[in-house]
Amino acid sequence: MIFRGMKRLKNISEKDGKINNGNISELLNNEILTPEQVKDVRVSSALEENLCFLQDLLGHNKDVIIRRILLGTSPHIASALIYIEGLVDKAILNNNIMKSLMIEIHEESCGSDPRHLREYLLKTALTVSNLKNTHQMNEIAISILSGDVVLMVEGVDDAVIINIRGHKEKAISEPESEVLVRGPREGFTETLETNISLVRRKLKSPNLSFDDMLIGKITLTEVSVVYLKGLASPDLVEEVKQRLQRIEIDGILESGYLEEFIEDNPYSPFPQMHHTERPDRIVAGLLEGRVAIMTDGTPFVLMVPAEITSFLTSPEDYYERYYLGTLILWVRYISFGISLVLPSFYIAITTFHQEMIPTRLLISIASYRQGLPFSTLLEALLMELTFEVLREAGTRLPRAVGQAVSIVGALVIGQAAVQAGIVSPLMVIIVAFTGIASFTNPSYNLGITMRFLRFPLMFLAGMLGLFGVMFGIVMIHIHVAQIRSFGLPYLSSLSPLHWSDLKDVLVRGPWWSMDTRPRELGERNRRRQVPGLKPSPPRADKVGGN
Amino acid sequence: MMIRRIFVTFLIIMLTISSGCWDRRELDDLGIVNGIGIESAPGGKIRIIAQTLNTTAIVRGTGGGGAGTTFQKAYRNTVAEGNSLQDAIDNLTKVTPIERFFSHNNVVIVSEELARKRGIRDITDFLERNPELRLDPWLIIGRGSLVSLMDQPGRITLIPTQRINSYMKINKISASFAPLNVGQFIRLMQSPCCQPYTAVIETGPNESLSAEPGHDLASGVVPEPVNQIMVNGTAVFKEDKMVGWLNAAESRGLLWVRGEVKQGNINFPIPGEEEKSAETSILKSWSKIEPSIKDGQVSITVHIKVNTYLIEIQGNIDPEMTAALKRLEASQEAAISREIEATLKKAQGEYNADIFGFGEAIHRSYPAEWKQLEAQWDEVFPGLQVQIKVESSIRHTSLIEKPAEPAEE
Repeated sequence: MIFRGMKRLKNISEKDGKINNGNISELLNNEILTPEQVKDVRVSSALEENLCFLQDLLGHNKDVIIRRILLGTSPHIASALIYIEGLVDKAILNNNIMKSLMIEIHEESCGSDPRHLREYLLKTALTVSNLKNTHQMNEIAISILSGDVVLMVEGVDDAVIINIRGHKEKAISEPESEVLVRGPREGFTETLETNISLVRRKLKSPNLSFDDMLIGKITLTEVSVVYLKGLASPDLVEEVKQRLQRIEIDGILESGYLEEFIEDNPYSPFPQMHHTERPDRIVAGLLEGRVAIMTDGTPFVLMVPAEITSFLTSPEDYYERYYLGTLILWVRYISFGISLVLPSFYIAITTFHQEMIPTRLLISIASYRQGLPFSTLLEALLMELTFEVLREAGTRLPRAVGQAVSIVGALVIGQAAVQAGIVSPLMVIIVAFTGIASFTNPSYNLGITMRFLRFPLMFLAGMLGLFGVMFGIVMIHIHVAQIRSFGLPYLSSLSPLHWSDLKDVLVRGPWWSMDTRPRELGERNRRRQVPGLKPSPPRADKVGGN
Repeated sequence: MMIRRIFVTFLIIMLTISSGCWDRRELDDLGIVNGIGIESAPGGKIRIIAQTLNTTAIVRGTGGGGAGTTFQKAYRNTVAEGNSLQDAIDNLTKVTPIERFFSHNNVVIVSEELARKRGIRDITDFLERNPELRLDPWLIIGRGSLVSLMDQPGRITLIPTQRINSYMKINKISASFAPLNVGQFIRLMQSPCCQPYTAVIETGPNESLSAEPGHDLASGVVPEPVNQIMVNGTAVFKEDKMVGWLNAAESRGLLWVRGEVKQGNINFPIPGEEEKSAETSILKSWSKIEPSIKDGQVSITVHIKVNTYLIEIQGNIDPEMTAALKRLEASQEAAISREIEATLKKAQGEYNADIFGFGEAIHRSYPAEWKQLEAQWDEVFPGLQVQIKVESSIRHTSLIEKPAEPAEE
């Protein structure tokens, strides 16, 4: 359909630049039209023709404003401003465009020469900073739909695109999904321009590049590939762009759409790229040679490539003292393991390997299992399921009601179930601890992976005991060892092992010791800082005086 | 391709299911056996007493004396007979329908009568062969009826076998008996160079039972037991049969030679005032068995080094401390020597059982000569020349030097 439509459009445009408006309305009624399809339509020198075309293309909607004005006094030159209500900054439109064009314009300047007029408009009349001119109708359409104002003048065969976008947007606030005790409090917003400025403010480097593209045939979502030239590998940047360009989808509402189109292993349960609301996290990644993908309309910015250990680090590790950073890092590693295997380990040990439990603990567990109706596996599954239900309910409900859920959950699950003899108190402890351990994960996406993988492991544990758990862990390991994220092995810096990178993995090295960037990412420019920056007390002979 | 993939998946699933351990059992279905007793039954049979824990009673208390609560025993003994140990264990289920779980077994008590007459080779074979049983429970000789021995609840540790386990663990404090666990026992038993030994337990009257049960507390929920379990010396084995018994002092003689005295006290007369004695506490001890063969004559020198400190002294102490301690040390060394000599006399003279591991020491130092000695070790051992050299030092006199004297008017 689209191809046929395009052909028809081509036919239209080929008739000496004459546009047959009837065809467009007909097309719009029958299929999804994208500005791309009017690529070959050029701006005509006849203003009314252009306006008719745009009116047809953009539809007779209330928010599409076509404001006809006359330039100069003798002769009057017909011209029009086209924009969409609500997407432009009205104050600027009124004061700097309308006023300039309608009042302050010098009459003698409006000669009959269209080229002269265009030059005059661009260079003298319009007191707006961001201008460009084009004769591509599709570009004009996209600009209008994105919030630009387009000025068309009778007799001039191109249009001026004036960028005075100013729609309502959320103020910059603290990211809710990634809360830090110490660290910047600002988070990305839904507007791409704001997000770009947030990154730019932290990274005042001429090397910082934003490569834009539009994805989504209907939504025409702006996507920006952000990287540091000279640091990020050009192959990586090229790969990211190619994968993004491949996407032909009607709409992109969130960066999650993109994620699924560009990841290396579509069937893997493991997240293969970071998403974050924190500009500092993005900047830290850019400084390591990573590439960020910003999507208009969502505060979640993607960052590639990602390896498993970087999902377990939080920006705060690098802001607090390194001893604490290292301790917290290990707490997270341990909780990561616990959140994955604790329930299955408990099931395996209590149903297959009772000899492994210390006698006193065994007595205690056995006494509490006395008279319970379900097997340990079923008990654990029930509890985990309940926990997931509570968690989901707590997330979905408005915050005020969410608290009630947690109270009910704690009372019902923690107390009543035990008293009623449905579950053993130990199982409650296990499930609760697993849940709490999973909350220590700083990356929400890796956290859901663990939640998901816990269940097959529990089944394996219930059927085969520790053998099953080990089988599951080995399987996960094999999988994790083979997947890559944009060419970077997922277990990178552990396997393949790079000793110098373990300063970010086994410990959080003090900043004065982290002279080099990660091996696989920052290959092009490995030195991060001058070595030997370790502070030390001033030497006696340098203190002077005494 | 698809069929092949399905086939491989199927194979993997079959592999895990068919080879996996399908011995899943829930904890509440298990009877956790904490100790077993083995005695001989009439007709060449074996009787087994399994002590199963009542987990609910242990964890939630045994009643505690509150009104309306019923007393629950923290353990249950089940007795069954059989032609073999496994047969007897299987017969246990006829008495109590529960799957017994032996991995948490702490003690294996063998009746003295069985150990003396029948030998315990069958038992050690079973204990070693069965995958569920471990080699770390204590192997102990029980005197008298095992049924009554294993039904003597402690007052704080309610379970008799746990109480026995605790006895064996605190052996290091008193060093008055020498327990071995199953693995150690088997190792000594199968070694040609030494003989096994282990601790002996028996029932004795409970001294703390008051003659007139005046208050309700004692006669209430948990009555003060009439009898209690006691450890009484060490059993000496010759191969797999028990041949003799060592009392507390002789047991320590054995432990001195084996270098296993970690703690304990030494009581010895004060030189010059023989009716009064001093008591020292052992800090550390070392032993070294040094064999020598000269002209075909085998002799053994046992070097023992002991560090102690003075913990109690009767009468006065010489103001000249250094000299006084020297004299005390000499008396202490003599006391240790006497203990060892008594043990040696019994082991060599009465039982002819090399429980000290002298043979092992010779084997190590003179491997070539040992080959000839090995066959006639039973004849050589009783007449073996053993020299004991004790070197002791009293490191300090605790908090005070001289005892407080009542002031003379």
